[in-house]
Order: sequence, then C-alpha cells, then structure tokens
Amino acid sequence: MTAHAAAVRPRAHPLIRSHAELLILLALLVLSGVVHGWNMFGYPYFENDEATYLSRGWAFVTEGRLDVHTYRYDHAPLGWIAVGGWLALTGGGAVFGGMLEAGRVLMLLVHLASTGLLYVVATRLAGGRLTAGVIAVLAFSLSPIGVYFHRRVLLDNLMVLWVLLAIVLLLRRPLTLGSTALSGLVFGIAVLTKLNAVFFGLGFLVLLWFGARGLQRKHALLCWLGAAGGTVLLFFLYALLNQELLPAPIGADGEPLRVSLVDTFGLQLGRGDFAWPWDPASSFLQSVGSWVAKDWYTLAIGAVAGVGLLLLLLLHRFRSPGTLAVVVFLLSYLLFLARGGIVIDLYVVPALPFLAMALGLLSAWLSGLAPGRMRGLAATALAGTLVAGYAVVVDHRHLDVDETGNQEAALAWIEREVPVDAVIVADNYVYPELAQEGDYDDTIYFFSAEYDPESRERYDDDWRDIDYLVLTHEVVEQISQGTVPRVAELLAHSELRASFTEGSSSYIDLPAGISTNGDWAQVYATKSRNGIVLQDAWTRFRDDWIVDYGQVLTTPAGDTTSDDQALAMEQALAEGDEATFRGVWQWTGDHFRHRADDVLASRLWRTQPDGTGALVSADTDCAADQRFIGLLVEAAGTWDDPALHGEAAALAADWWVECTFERGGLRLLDSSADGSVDDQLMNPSTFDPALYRSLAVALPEHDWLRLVDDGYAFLARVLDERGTVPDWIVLDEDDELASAEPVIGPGADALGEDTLRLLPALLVDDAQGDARAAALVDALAPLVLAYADAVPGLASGTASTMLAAARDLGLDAEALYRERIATRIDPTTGAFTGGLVEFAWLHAWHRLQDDLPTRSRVALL
Amino acid sequence: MLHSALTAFVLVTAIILLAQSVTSLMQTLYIWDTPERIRAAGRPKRYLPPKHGFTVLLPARHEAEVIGETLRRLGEAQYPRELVELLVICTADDYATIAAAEDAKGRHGLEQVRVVVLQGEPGKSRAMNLGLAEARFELVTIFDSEDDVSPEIFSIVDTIYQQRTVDVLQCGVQLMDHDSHWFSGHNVLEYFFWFKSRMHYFAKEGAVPLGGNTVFFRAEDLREVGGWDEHGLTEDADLGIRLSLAGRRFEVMYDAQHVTREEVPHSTGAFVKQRTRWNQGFLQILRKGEWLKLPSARKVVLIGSVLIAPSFMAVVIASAPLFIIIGATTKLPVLVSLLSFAPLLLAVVMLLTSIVGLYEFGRDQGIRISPFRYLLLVLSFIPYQGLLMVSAVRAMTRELAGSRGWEKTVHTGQHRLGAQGAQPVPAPVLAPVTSPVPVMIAEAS
Repeated sequence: MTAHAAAVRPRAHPLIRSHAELLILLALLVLSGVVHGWNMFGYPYFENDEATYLSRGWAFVTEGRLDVHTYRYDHAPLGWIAVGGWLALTGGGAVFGGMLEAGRVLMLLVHLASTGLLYVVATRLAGGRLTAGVIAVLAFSLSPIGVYFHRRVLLDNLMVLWVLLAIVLLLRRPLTLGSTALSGLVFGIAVLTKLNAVFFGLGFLVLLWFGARGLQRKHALLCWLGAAGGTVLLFFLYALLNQELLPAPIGADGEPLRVSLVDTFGLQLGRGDFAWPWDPASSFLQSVGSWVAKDWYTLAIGAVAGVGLLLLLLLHRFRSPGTLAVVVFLLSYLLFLARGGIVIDLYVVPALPFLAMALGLLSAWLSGLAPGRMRGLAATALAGTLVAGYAVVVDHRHLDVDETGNQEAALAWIEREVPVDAVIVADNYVYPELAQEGDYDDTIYFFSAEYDPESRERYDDDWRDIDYLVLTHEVVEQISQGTVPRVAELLAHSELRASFTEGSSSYIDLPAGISTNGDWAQVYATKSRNGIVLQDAWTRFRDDWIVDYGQVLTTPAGDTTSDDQALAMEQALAEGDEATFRGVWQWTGDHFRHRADDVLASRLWRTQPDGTGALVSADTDCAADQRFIGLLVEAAGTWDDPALHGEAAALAADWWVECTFERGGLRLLDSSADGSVDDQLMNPSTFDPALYRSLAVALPEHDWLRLVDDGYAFLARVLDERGTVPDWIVLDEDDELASAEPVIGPGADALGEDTLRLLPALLVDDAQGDARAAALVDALAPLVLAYADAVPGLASGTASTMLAAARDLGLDAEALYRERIATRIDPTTGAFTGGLVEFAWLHAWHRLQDDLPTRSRVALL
Repeated sequence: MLHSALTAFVLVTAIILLAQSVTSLMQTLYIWDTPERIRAAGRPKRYLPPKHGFTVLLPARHEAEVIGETLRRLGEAQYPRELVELLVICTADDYATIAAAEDAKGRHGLEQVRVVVLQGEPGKSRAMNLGLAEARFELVTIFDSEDDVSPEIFSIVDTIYQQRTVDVLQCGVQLMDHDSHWFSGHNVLEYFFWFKSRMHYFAKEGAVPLGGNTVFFRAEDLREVGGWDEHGLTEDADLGIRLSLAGRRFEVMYDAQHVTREEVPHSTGAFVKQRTRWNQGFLQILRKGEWLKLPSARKVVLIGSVLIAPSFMAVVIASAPLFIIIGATTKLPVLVSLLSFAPLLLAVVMLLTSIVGLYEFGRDQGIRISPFRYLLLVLSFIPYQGLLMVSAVRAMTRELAGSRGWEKTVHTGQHRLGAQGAQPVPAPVLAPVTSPVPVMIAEAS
C-alpha cells in the first residue's frame, strides 16, 4: 500500500483508448456532421416550436424573461435558456443570417456532441467493443428520421445531449461520488430541458447500481438522486416563489387570475383521450405509423435490435449490466410512449440514441461470435450492410429537398408588403425575424393570441383588430383540432393575400382542415369590420332562408321573390360562394323564367305549407331583372365563365325591350314587364346609375349611359313637379305625371320606403362627384328626415344614418349607427337580427359602406 | 439603491452558505468517493512485527474510580509490554488517584506503568509537557482515563508508521450510545462522519484539527515544536497548526472495531456547554492568527473557514430578524430567492446522508438501529440544528462580552481534568455550524 493511498484520486480510464480509435471517431464525426449539415437550412421546414424556443431564448438573454409573453410552465425552461445563451454568443441571427439558421447551427453542434457521447456510451456499455460505438453512431447519424428531427431546434435534442452526458459520467471507472453527483445534476438539467427525460431515470438507477461498489453504493444512489431531485425541485420552487405553483383562483369572468404550474401540468396530462396502445386510433399507433412512413428502416432494425438485446439479456441471465441498462432505458421510454396518452411525432427523438445503442450492442455481440481474427471482418461487414441499407432503401430528401423556400418567401413578402405597425397573428416561425430581429412589434404567436391575456391586449381582445394571419401547416392542424377557435374565426373572416405553395409536397384542403406537410405558407388579411358583418350576415341568410338548392323562402308566408333571389346571389357573389350563387340562379331559372315572350324572371312564387308551390304572378320585377344582369356579368368575370355572360346578354336584350320605354325624348324605366302598354307604372327606386355605368362597359350593345342621363333628368322633373320623389309614379300616354294611388293604393304618391331604396344609388354617384346626384340628395335630405320623424323604423333609420354620414345635417352619424343599426346585430353570431325585410335594409346599409370612399364611411363597432 | 444593496447582501450570504454546504457535503462523503478510499482508510490487513515503542500519556485528576480499570485494559493490549509505557500524570495533592494507579500497577503486574507527579499549578498542558519530558519511546499518544481503547491499537499504529510516511496519526474515536438522548443520534453521527471521512480530507490537505485523544505523535516532533503551549488555552489546535507549519504529515485511521469508544454528553445542557466551549475555543484560535501563517492559501482557507464558521453562524442568527424583514418587505429577484433555497436543499441531502450514515454505523458496530431511531433522527434534525445555533451564538456573545470566562472555566475544570473527550468538527448542514478544533480545556461546571 502506498502512502496516502486514500488521498490520491484514482485516474479514470480514458474515454478514447488509442490513436486508431480517435481516428475512427473523428471519421464518424465528419460523416455525421456532413449528413446533418448538408441542406440543413433547407430541410425540414421551420417548425413552429423551433422558433418558439429561439424566441424565448432570445427574450431570456435580452429581457431576462422566460417567454416572450407570460411564461405558462408549458415546458421547463432550461432548454431555451441554453438556446438563448447560444444566440447571445452568436449575436442573435447576426452570424448565420437569422435566428432560425443560428438555431440550426446550434443543433449541428449538439448533434456532433451527442454523436461523440453516444460512441463513448455504446462502446463502454458493450464492454469496450468499439463495434458497438461505430454501429450506434452510424444508425444515429444516417437515419432519415434522425436527420429530420436532429436538425430541428427541439428541446428533445438538447435533452438527449444531457442524458447522454449524464450516462457517460456514470460510466467513469472507478465510479466516484463526485462524478455521480455531477451525473445527477446533469440529469436534472436534462429533465428541466424536457420533462419527459424523467422516464430514463430507471435506466440510470441500473447504471448506478452496477457502477458503484459495496459501501459506496448507497451514498452513490443518494448523491445521484439528491443532485437530480434537487435540481428538478428548483423548478417547482421557482414556481412557488413566483406564487405560480398551486392552482390559480378563478376570476369573475371564469378565467384563472394567473398562470399556475399545477394547472398547466394538469391540462397537459389530460391532453388527448386515453386509448390502449394497440387501439388503431390511439395516438401511439398513429405516431408509429407516421414514424414508419418517415423511416421504416431505422425503426425496423431498431426494433429488431431491441428485441434481440432483450433475448441476449435473458441468455446472459441478466449478468450484463450494459445490456440491462440499454434494455431498461428503451423499455421505460416505450412504456411512456405506450401509456395511452397523447404521443407527438417528435417524441421519437429521445428513443433514437437508445435504439442505435441497442443496435450497436447487438452488433458487437454478433460480431463477437466470429472466431478471433474474423471479428474485425464481421464487424466491418455489419457496418457496411447498415450503411448500404441507408444508401439504398430509404429516401434522401434531407439532402436535396428545399422545404423552407416558401416560408422564406412568405417572410420576405410580409417585410415588403405589410406595414410594421400591423398586428400579425402567426405561426411562430416568423416571430424571431419579424418581432425580434425586425420592427414588427405586434407580431403575436397564434397560441398566445388565443390564450395569453397579455397578448390579447395587443389587439384589444377583439380578433377583428388583427390585421394579418400567417397560415401554416401547424396553424391548420390546430384549427382542425379545435384548439384555437379564435384563430379559426379569424381565418374564416380573412382574405388570402399571398400564397406560397410552389413545390410543396403538402396536400392542402383548408375547408377540410387538412395539410400534410409544412413546406408552405400563406398570408391572409383580415376583412374590414363591414366585410365581417356582411360575411356573418350572409352565413345567417344562407342558413335561415335558402332552402332546396337555391330558393329564398320566407316563412310563414311562403313567398319567394325575384328580388330576394337577386339579394341572395349578390351576397353569394360578394362572399365568393359560387355553389350557392349558381344554385340560386338555377332555381330562379327553373321556377321563374317561363314567360312566353322573354327570358325575364317572374316576380313571385308561393310555397304552400305542404311544400308544393306555384307562381303567383308571371309579371317581372324590372329592378330584380337588372340586378340579375349585373350579377351575371360580374360573376362571369369572377369565375371566368363566358356562359354566364351570355345569359346576362340574353337577359339584357329582353330587359331593354320589356323594361325600358321612350317617352318625351327620354329613355325611362318601367317597374314591370306587365304587359301594360299605355300608362307606365314607374318605381323611381329602380334607377341604379352605378349599375348602368358598369354595364355600359360589359354590354356595350345597349346605350346604358343614356339611362343614367335620362333617369336623372326624369327625377329632376318629378322633384320639380311634385316637390318630392314618391314611391310610385304613373306616366300617362301624354307624358304627364299621374297619381299611382288608383293602381297601388293610398300613399303611393308620397315619399316612402321605395323612395328610400333610391338613396344608396344616389349617394354612391354623389360620392363619385355627379352633381345631379348631389342636387337630388340635397333636395331629398330634409324630406327623408321629416319622413323618419313621422315613420320611425329600420328603413328610415338606415336612410337617415346614410344621410347623416354624407351631409352635415347636424346629426351624429356614429351615434345613429350605434343606436339604429349596431343594436340590430346579434353579438354571438355577428349576423343581423329580425326577418328578411329587416335584413334587406341592414344589408343595404352595410353594402353601401363598402361602396363608399373611406372618408364617407362610419367607423363600425 | 437600498433594494440593490439588500439583494446583494442576500445574494452574497446565499453564495457563502451554498459554498459552505457543498464543501461540507463533499468532505462528509470524502471517503465514499471511491471504493479505493474506503479501503485505504481502514486498518492494515496484517500487522507487521512490532517496531515502535509507545509512551501513553494519561493525564488524570480525581479519577481514582476509573484509572485502575483503564490501566488494566491498556495493560492487556496485544503488543509487547516492553515497547509500551503508561504515564499516569497527577498533581501532587491528588493522593487518591496516585494510590489507585499504584494499586492497579501492583495488582495487575503492570511494570510499564509509571506515576508522574506534577508539582505546582495544575493544568493539562503542563501535565502533558511533563509526560513528554519523561517519555522514553519514539511515539507519544494521549488517552483519557475513561476511554475504551482497542487492544490492537498499538499493532495497527505501529504497522501504519512502518508502512507509510506519517508523522501524526489520528485514530478513530466514536460515540456509541446513539439512543441515550434525543440528540445522541446526530451527535454520534458527527463523530462517525468526522473520524471516518471528513478528517481524511483534512489529512490529505495537510492541516488537521486534531481529536482530543487516540492521536499519535513522534516525540521528537513534539519536542521540536516545543510541546503543548502552557499559556495558551487552546493548546491542541495550537499544536495542530504548529505541526502543520512544521510540514508534518498527517494520517487518519478509522476502523469500526478499533475505534476508541466514548459516550455522548449526559444532558442537553452539558451538550450545549461543551459545544459552546469548543466554539469559543475556535474564536480564541482565530484571534491568535497563527493559522494565517499556514504554508498554502488552500490550508489557510480550509482551517480559516473551519474557525470562522461558528462566528459566521452567530452573525447569521443575529441577523435572522433582518432576513425575515427583508423577505417580508422586499420583492427580491426570483433567482436570488431561488439561490437562497439551494443550501436548504443540500441540508435535506445532508439529512438523508445522515440516515445512510446511521445505517452504516449500526452495521459497522453490529448494533440494531430501530426504525424509531431513524424517525427520531429526522424529527430531531431541526431541533439539533437549533442546539448548534444556540451554542454558536452563546460562544459568540460570551466572546464578545470580553471577559471570556476562561479563567473560571480553567479553574473549575481542574476538578475534572482530562474528561473532555475527542471533539469532531461537525459538518455544517442547515447553516455552517461547526464545532471548534478540539481544544483540551477542562469542562465548564
């Protein structure tokens, strides 16, 4: 015994035992680095979570907070603290051209470190057989599913690094308590990097049990558990000190008053429904399916190796600690995966090094069966077979496919087209570049936009104040899972501005909530308030009043009018609902267009309670007919359908014959193609100058502009002679204005609701600068207001609100809007309340908002 | 400004506590770090043929009742009688003890026993210096009159001195009655960890707070450094530091079967008094400043931290209300608060280590430890820390009071000279509460 033997710390066995071994390891690292690094910025696509961790890391190093918004204890924070450290070291995205890229470079380094550690662990556990290390590293680095996930900035990759390091520390021989405690500490870091590392705990206990000797064992277990447990406990302590550990009290609004670790954990543990792992619908089997699709080869040989190693363990009667440890690591993680709860695709990551280890250990044993000098040959043959397998049977998308180009293009588009003060709700992949590297301070992660109160403040907790939505695979997935109803609402009420799907391998069906890959991106702009109201109104209209394949049916009267059919088509066209547009037009054609001499539509159909129906009047409504013409022309352009244009032209030809007439040198509008020849019953509200101006371009065979001029002239005459514009006018053979009361009934000669229908058309032309329209509006304004006082109601209410916004009449248009119109919107559905008549008035008011220049609009609630 | 200052204050305190807890835990577990250390710390497997002669110093005052039995057992040591001399050192007026020693010598035929009479003022240092002057043999050791010493101790020590380069050898001393008082479990474990593990660490570093007995010196070394300091009140620590300054090499041997067995203080009050005395002894050494001359910064820090710990603890205790006020009124950065909790976590690890230690102690000594004792160990953990704190604060206030009370202590201690046992330096746990380097001072009344 030497002096001070007790004082001398025994030298540990070296990790690498010879120069030859060092060369082999270096070669493996180079191979691993090349396979990982080649095209690592191009594949796979930037996943939402990657940017989440990067942005949190950056927030940590720049602002000292654990999340860009409120930290909700969804993950333990050490992972992105490490990522933040790397970003601080490399100046955010400065060195590598962006944070996402910087993150991927970090992952390359992490992968190389993990590869080196894996080599050491596999070799050590196989009792020094370097075959084990080589094979394990080859499988670990060449596996496509490995490359796919290892390139991503995932907590799991960092966690695996820590776990492997913790294992290496326990493989020191002789094992010291110092090394053991350090291993515990590192394992604690692994757990605080990604909590599911705890499922490897059992394997560590095996290593500890066999690594420590005699009297040392209990202290070793205690040291390891103390170091690991203490480290993990700090996380809970952190929550406790922040008063965020225990379940949060619920506020008056039913929302928790603060975040809570316990609540979040409870929520996450409850994610997904329980399903036995052998249930085909289970999250576990579905994930297995997805893994097999990505890389069946690695999974197959890994599974075979796992089972083989288990058999080997039985053969050796559990006397091989290394084998036992790997089997325990694998089995305990498998039990976690198969526990019946939710399994996410990336959960495969922590299993990969252990599958590789199993393969390495089994290969080492197999090659060890060969006689003496043949062993090296056998090992080489095994390694060669493995590599050949990777060269031949799996695809190599990871080396050449560009999955990030579309994402980059979407980012570039935003930076080019979107103002920096816009509120952008997005998949997080844009967050670091827009919000942290750029000046788009109001970029909000879509999950935060949904749930984080602090983030919701940024758009006043009203999704209509969000300007843009960056839609990706992940957002679609969450929407289809129903986890982000507010974002779903947002998407439903926005318009596609830019789509980047070129070369995407994804099958995308947004209405069905399907996307199969993340290599695309789209930017949507939220509709205006008015657009949103009109959309929700349309939804209600369609649901409540359109029956069969396109009949607008009012109950209980059972009436269907050509005007209502036109209203339906107008909305369908505005909302891009082609199917309904065509359905309604088809129904109109099938039921209304049976007149002998023309193709115009009859005016009224009545459906009996038993479902049968018939035309009540074969007469047409010229106002409805002209709307059909305008709608068909516009639809023909929108959907690029010349047939619709043809129908419009045919309709227009008959309309000119049946619905216009000349008298006194003016081309005037008849109210109905009712066969009356002499006295013409006219409805002034049929006059629609904006429509005629557009038809003048689309259907130049008719002199539409003359209708405009003559219409204004006639209205001026009416105003002059009558002092008002009445609901109805009869123009007799002698070109004299006569009373309409004998035909229509009392009140027909006075200003009424029909007159009011004329207002929007005049206001639009007025806004365009037509002096004739302006004069008419000026003249009508006091009359309309007087009428509104006398006959309060929705019709006069919307009319006076229109006038208040257009003219200085001493009225507050906004107040009128709030009082008369906004109150008629159902706060939950966003649609108009009331029946079809009320609907038409409200629709007309909101439609006018869209047709007016911005300065003439009312700011909507 | 004030907030930053408070934060910095808490932060620094937390870091010191953390460093001390970590160091303490590392020292406590030192011997278990590797199996090799466990092996090397024990006794030699085989004994070499006897070579060294031993002079055993037995300072005794009014020990007539036990001195005979002690001599008889030492006489039965399995070592050649001609290589051992037993020097019983008594004051001239202590007739009873002298008579008892002479009686034992005759009755058991112990020719190797000599009774040396100390003239003039009584005092343990004087007694031992007299013994040193009379010593015939190369190795000198000290036992207390009531010690239960292993018969193989001389063979073990002789073999170690032959095999290794060693000048000072401390052999294990162990309190045995783990179930006699509510605090004895912890007290026993302090000895267990101190002699079995922590002392090895100090020996490796070359600066050891020595135990009060079963410690072996080379007579020439003692003579070279001038023996025990008769004027100093903390002569053993003083001696340890001087031997370290002289570059002497220390070794520690702990073997469960061959420890010197002692008992815990007979009451809680006695425990506090004993601990107060040790702590106050530390302050004395600290003030003397000789430790600052230790040859390396590492040794200075090591011994210095051991000496300073109880005072630091007293300061921490004294400022406990301040900490509570800070905690209640100031919103400290969470990371600072977090850090201040880390020593607490380590204290829990320490407690768990104690449980393992109690198990090992029982196994070592062939004693069955009942589950209740483990439970009591846990339950008494905090009260025991309380005792240590009380003792530390008490020592501090007594020292600050200025009169120090040493004269009185020495005076009263003369009645029971040599009955103070071998003190361990307990591992700081909840807070760094440590007991002093063993100071051979008579017990307070």
